[in-house]
Amino acid sequence: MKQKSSFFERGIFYYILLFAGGVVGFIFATWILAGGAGVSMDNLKVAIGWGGALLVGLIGTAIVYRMYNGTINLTQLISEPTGEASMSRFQLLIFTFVVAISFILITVSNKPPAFPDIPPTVLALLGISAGSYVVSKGIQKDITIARTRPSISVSPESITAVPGQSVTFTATATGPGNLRYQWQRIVPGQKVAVDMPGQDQQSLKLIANTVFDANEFQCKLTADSGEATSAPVTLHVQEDRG
Amino acid sequence: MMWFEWENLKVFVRFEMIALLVAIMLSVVHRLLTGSINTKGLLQAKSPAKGISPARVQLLMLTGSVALYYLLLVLQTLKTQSQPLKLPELPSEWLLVLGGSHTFYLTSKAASTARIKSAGAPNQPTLFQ
Repeated sequence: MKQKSSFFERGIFYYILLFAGGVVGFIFATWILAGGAGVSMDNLKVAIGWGGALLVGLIGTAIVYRMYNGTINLTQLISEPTGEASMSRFQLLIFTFVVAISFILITVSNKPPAFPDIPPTVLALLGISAGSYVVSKGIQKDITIARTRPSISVSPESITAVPGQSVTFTATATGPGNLRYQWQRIVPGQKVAVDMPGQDQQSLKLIANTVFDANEFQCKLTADSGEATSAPVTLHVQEDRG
Repeated sequence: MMWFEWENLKVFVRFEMIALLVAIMLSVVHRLLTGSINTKGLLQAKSPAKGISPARVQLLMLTGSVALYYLLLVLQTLKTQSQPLKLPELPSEWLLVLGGSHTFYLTSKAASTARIKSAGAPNQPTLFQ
């Protein structure tokens, strides 16, 4: 059943823009009707300033509201691609908030409001925090690759064929870096898979022969981060009795 | 004095900026405390042995300490200066300690990565069974 979207879910920014336009219009009307002040550039600047301030306030409120109700998804704000929380992201978030709120507090405490200078030690603090984050991500990439083992995403299937027929087994693999394939053969009665010389492509192509009847084949996949092997599949070679 | 005059606008913008930033911070903090923001494994070592990582714990504690200390410096500046023209300086000793803490954390993480990479492939070739 389709969920009924709320007022806020149906394009809040359009409503904000509409409302902001109304606010600006109202300010202009007030400014013109005030009359006594006269139509001057100063009054125009103040009116535009009010419109801009209200618009920023409305957009900011919409963002906070969306963060609060989960429309802006913060679940993975400090998470790695692996799903685990990241300390380097967390410390960068904290320092970003601290410096941002400090900057705004100092700015608005000045009369008239003025941007303060940022001392070198605060820049160094941000440099350490952000630099550590970047280095940590570089290290994390190695961990992610190391943990991402290769796997067979599409396994080959057993085939029944007549002698002389061309058959193809195919394995599809996923994994990081360079993937290497090696097809192996398991002769009936033996339990050891033996590498097939020269069969190192994604597909194994054979001409069905009775010597392959009931043989099993599997694909061994090798990557820098590990190995995986497909489940053995059987080739049945039956004489054409027709 | 009309309500839309310049002085009123400045007061409005001042409180608007503070209110918005505080609201965003509270929203993030609320989600951190209620678990809506994933913090699973924040203090856990990424080495095969798992467990709590001392490097992460010390970095978290020092980050919190430096952040709190700097906010107190800002509040003190606002209290003592009517026209602060620059953000307060962070003492260089704190920077050195923070740099050391990050170095320890990164070194520990790099060592864990090396251990993970040398742990070998867990998926051995499957033999016929």
